[in-house]
Amino acid sequence: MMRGGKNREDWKHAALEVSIAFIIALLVGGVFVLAAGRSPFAAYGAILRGAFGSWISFSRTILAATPLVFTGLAFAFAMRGGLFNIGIEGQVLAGAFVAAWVGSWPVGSGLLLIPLAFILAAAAAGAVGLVMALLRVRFGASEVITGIMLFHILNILFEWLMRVWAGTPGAYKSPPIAAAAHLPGVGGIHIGCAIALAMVILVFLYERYTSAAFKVRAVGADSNVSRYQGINVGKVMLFALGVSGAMAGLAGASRVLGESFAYLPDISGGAGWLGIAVALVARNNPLAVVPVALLFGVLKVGGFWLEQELALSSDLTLIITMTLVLTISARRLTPMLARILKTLRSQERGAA
Amino acid sequence: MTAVILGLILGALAGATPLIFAALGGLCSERAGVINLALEGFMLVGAFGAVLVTYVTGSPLAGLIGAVIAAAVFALVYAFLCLDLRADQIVAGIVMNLLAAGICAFLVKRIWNISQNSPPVEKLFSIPIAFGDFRREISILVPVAFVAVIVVWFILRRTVFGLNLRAAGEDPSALVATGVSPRRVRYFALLCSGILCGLGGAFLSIGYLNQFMTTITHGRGFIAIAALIMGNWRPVRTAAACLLIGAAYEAGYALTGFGVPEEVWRMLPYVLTIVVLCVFNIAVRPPRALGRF
Amino acid sequence: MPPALELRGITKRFGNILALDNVDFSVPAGSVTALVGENGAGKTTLVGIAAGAVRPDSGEINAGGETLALSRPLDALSRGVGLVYQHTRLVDDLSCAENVALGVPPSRCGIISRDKLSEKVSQLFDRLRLDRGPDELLASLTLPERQKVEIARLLYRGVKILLLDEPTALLLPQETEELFTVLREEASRGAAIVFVTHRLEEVFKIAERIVVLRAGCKVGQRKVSETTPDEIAVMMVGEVEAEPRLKAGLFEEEMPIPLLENATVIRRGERVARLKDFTLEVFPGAIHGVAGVAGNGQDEIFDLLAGVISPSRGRVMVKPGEIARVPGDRFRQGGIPDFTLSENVELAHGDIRSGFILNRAGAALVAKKVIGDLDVKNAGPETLYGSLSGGNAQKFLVGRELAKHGTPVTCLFNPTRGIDFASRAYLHSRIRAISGAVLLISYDLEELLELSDTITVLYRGESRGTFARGEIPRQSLASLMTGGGA
Repeated sequence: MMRGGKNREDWKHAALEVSIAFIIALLVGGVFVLAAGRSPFAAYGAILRGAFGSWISFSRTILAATPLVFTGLAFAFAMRGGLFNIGIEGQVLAGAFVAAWVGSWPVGSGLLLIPLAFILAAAAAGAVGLVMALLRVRFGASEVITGIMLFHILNILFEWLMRVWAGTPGAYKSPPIAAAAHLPGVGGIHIGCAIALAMVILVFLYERYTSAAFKVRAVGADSNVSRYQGINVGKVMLFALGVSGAMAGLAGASRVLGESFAYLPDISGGAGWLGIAVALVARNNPLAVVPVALLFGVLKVGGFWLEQELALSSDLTLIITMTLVLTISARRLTPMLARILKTLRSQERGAA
Repeated sequence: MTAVILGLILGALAGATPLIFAALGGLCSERAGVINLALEGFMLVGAFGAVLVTYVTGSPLAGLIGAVIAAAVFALVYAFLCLDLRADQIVAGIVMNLLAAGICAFLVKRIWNISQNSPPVEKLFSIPIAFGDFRREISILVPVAFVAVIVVWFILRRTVFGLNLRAAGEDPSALVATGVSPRRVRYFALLCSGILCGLGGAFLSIGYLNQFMTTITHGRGFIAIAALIMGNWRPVRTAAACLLIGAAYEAGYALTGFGVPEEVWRMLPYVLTIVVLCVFNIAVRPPRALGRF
Repeated sequence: MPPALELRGITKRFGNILALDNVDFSVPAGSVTALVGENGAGKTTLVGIAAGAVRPDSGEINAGGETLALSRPLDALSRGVGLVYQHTRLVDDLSCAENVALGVPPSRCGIISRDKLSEKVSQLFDRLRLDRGPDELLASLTLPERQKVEIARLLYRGVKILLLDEPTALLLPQETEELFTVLREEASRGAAIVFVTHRLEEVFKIAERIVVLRAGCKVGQRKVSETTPDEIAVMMVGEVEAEPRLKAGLFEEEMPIPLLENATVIRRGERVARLKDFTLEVFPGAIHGVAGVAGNGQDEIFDLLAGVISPSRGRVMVKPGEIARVPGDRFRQGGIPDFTLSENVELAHGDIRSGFILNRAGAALVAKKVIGDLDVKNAGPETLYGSLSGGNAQKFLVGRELAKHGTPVTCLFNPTRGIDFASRAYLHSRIRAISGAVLLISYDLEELLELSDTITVLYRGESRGTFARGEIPRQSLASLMTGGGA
């Protein structure tokens, strides 16, 4: 289906398409800002100031981008196998909850506790992915719908467990994790960012050099041919969704251990949904996930300044992001624009 | 006891109503061959349109029309993306939901300067139900939903448009050979889808509640898709599936009175949806040209 | 009287193959014209062009005294020209009447007038001797019934010139007779009928005129009363080759390799078995053919051997890894169109993709060898598989399987279906040269007779017998394939 560009021409083409889509998204966002009675330039200025105005805001942007790198990689990973991991949001919650729970264990050493929390979080979230894959392979249930349903179920389940754990009915967060489990960092940026970057390189190498990645790609390109050529399609699907889920779990763990230090029901902040957008804009290319996640991080953090400076909802950035994804997924848009431009030009020439 | 049972039945009907509207919307779209995972977004936009127009005009009836128009316009955007720009239908559907959430949240904040919930508005006309001591009201949209099932069935079975719609979903090339454009048919099918989801959204915001909340649809668009699959893409069976899910939800609610944690019944419709998907996927047959051109 | 339909100077190329070369073809009203020729002679292309479904490179079409726009099915339909395809183009989920009237049902204010529709369709069905109600679901109809619905659809739209592309290919003798009766009646009502076939015995039963095509050229035109089957056969085929002889004494020397043992396949949700107690074995150094009309269990045999399905009863005696396989559908089973040739080698060769690290170089090496060995034209290891022509893709698939090691059996499913003549001849020579055992499943009886040492006839999932070459005449095989006796 969607394959990373193989040569320079493809890259150029992809870059052009993303640029056009980005311009359209900014225009649509601008229309909403105008409709709300504000100046689009003031709004976009506020977003940029909010994201880059100071070191603190910059570090926030980086922190906002980090879970998006994990979730973007996660979605892209499954997408290579032709699977829509729509359950990422739920998997992030699973990772976050397990990380908060492991983080509260009375183990003195962070060197032990932190890796343990990450691994168990990944395992739990990976299990959610495996459940989706099993339902798909065994019963043919679409992973798109089971993914959404599992998100709702997990959301309610963890909120419930959190309250039981905290011991008060009105609790809005879990008990805090141990100090040993806090992620180390400098200048407000914790080590979760470095783990995210390491994952990017790992996934890049995996896709480039391993047979497993080839099988996933073959199943994604054409599961029927793959079956006829002797690939165990069900196994490949389990693998792709399992690993995808595990990576989404890392996003939740990194949020809990590095920023909130407890489980909160809205811990994900929509990272799961945005991860889908990241992967689609990055065309499932692991290296491209980083700049796209950063861009979305800018929009997310800058969005809060919209509220402060212009009393506009930060949801404007959601509109921009989703318009961007829609325009990118619209395969016939660029050819259509090219055709319109051509007619305009020939008309101009005719007029002259 | 009668009161309890009546309450359960009315609750099930009310729970099924938005599902029926959304599932019928999905049916129109998918029987024409367009995958529609954007029902949730169509409903959300409809729910918002209903409250906004009611708020501005003071008339819930105008609000209902506003809901239908808002959702229909949104559905046409989806149609343009899928049919003319050839966006991936699964991706576009999911993303349309998120776009709807973004637009509604943005406008709520701008118009009422609060996040998430709108101020209360007047509700749509309700029908009072009295039986002995039992007194309840149900929204006019509940019976409308059941009328809609018949109407959709009639359109599909008995009209030229319905025939073309079914052919577009089964084999668009057969339709082309007879001189009818499947693209045009699908545009109208998505228009119907938007109108129906608009009614479903209006039920949520001005029929059941009296305000808009950004989380008002709560996955119902996807539960509706499961009901659609369970109903094998047939109107009456799909409505029956919606009723079953609505009833199970109400029954779960009633169980909380017997010491079952509230969370369990809140999870119930989602768990049920997964079970339904797994059980019925084997026995049903989707439209042959679903997602194809 | 001017001809009802007239094609002049029709030329059509597909790639570098000349499918039709300056062909003139005319059909008078009120009669049946047979268009005959061997597989690949250009018959289907010619009727496709007449019906506006295929665009010719040059030429002119006249119907009812008017010139038709080329390549516009609707235009042809509105001038009264309609084509019944080999595989009918009807919608399974609609009723018979809905299929007939699709696009133009009788209606008032957008609501279909069901009485009027039923009446019209019933009339048509009576006329066509189709004993089905207008409200019955199309899915429940048999193939000959579907053909009649398709004819009814065209008559409903006022078609006067009826083209039928190999309508009898999948019919039983009795059903063929019934169709002929109906066609004769339509002709006597004034319709012009064109009947495409490669079966001569039928031609002399139904047609008044015969037009013969060979390799894209019109060889001649005869009145049935003024010719003989032998003359037409010579016109169709040219000179006839002598049949090669069976390898003598083969079966005493070699041990058979069992493939299937009493295998039965019942698909999920179905009650009738697609394959019933089927046993299959092949001999090293020999080609074993499986003959049958499409859909009589061939897919199930292949799927069992490929490990895609497992038998409901009985056993598969070989592992998928021990059998080299060329599937029936080049682009939906054989290879991934979006992948390069090198990647498609990797896909099929389990030993190349078995390591942790991808063996790109190994795959490219095999791909290069296959391309050179099988003469895959204009391709390299980095060429996209989907960009290959049908013939080249098929060569690549066969070559890819030949390059496998440790596979004593090679199974080929319709290896030359729909490819150009040169590639077909080349592949046949390569298949003959395979040293191990070969299983050849094919819908093409000519191909089977040309290549196989032994042939098993398959009908409704059951074996109707296994024959050595020369043991049984061709007509008997054809009869067994369609449910008749030998």
